[in-house]
Amino acid sequence: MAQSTGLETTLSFGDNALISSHLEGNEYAFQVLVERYQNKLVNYIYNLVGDYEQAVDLGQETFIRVFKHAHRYHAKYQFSTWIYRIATNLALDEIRRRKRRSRSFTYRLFFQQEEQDIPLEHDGPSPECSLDRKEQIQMLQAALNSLPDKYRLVFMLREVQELSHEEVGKVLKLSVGTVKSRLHRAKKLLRQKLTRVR
Amino acid sequence: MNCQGVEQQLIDEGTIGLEAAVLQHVHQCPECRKLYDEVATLEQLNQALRGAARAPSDFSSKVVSASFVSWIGWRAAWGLIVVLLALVTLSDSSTFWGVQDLKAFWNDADSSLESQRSESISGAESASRSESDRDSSIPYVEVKVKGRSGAPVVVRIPAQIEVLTRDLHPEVLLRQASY
Repeated sequence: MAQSTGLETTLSFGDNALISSHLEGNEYAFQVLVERYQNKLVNYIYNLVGDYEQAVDLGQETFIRVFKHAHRYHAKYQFSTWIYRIATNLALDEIRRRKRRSRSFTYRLFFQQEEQDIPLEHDGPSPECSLDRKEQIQMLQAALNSLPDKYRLVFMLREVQELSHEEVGKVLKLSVGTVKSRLHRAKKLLRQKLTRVR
Repeated sequence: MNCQGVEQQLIDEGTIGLEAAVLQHVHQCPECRKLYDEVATLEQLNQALRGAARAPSDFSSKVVSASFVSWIGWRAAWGLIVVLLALVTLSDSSTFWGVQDLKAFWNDADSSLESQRSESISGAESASRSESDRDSSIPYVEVKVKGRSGAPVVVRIPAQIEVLTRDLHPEVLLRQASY
């Protein structure tokens, strides 16, 4: 995998091979990694922080950290769990910062209805999305954001990002059993909250 | 299959790929049917959340350039720190060496002055002892001084004497000697 490796060849690489290739000087490797994960990651962060601009910035910061610390990455781990862990930490930092400022997403959603500026769709809108549907999604987001972080993160990673239980465990440094029990609890809490809202 | 088992399966596994026994129970039990509908709705909403936001079209190019800039800045910052540390170390060392050199210089100067002084004293002593012992190569002057008995005595002292200010003791040199 020399520097001369072409873009088409690079596209066929797995994540670990891309990191190795990037460290060996392949100029396309990092770009391919970014393009492979950008939508998943921005969406994940957006669902956590509820602010699109912030999600894009944090997504960018996540990739910058990957770039900077690529030499620390061990191929025995999965790249996806590593990048999700970085993104999760950044998003949690942002959420804590907001909580300190008492201007959390949940707070605005529940108590400042007139200030609602939650862009549900940006580059990936669903034009056919009806108002009811939008409201339902907003309700779900609000319910999700009112969950304790330990349940919300598990739910997001498993149900929205579709990571396996094992992967969720690796991202959050939890056992598979804990992941399953937290997921069960998260779904129950969500059901209760959504039933209450309806 | 009872309601508790169905609830467990629906919450943990979702509505897709359920066992036939579970589905049969769901069709017969209104409570479990309600739960099934709620879980199905939640699954659809989760699906919607998966596409809630996408990265902007210029995201990857911005990220790649920002990463390079950040990396270069990071490297430059570290480089600068290393250079500064090296400069500080060198400057400290040179000061240290300077001190060492200065000490060596003063040691040399002291020993050379000491030898000059001893030469001068021995020259003066030899002049007072005997004319023949005198080293004629050293220029001297004759000075008439009052001896202890009160009679004038002529002594010869070197024409050039390097005297350090610190060696001068006014009580001894200036009061007891008269030129």
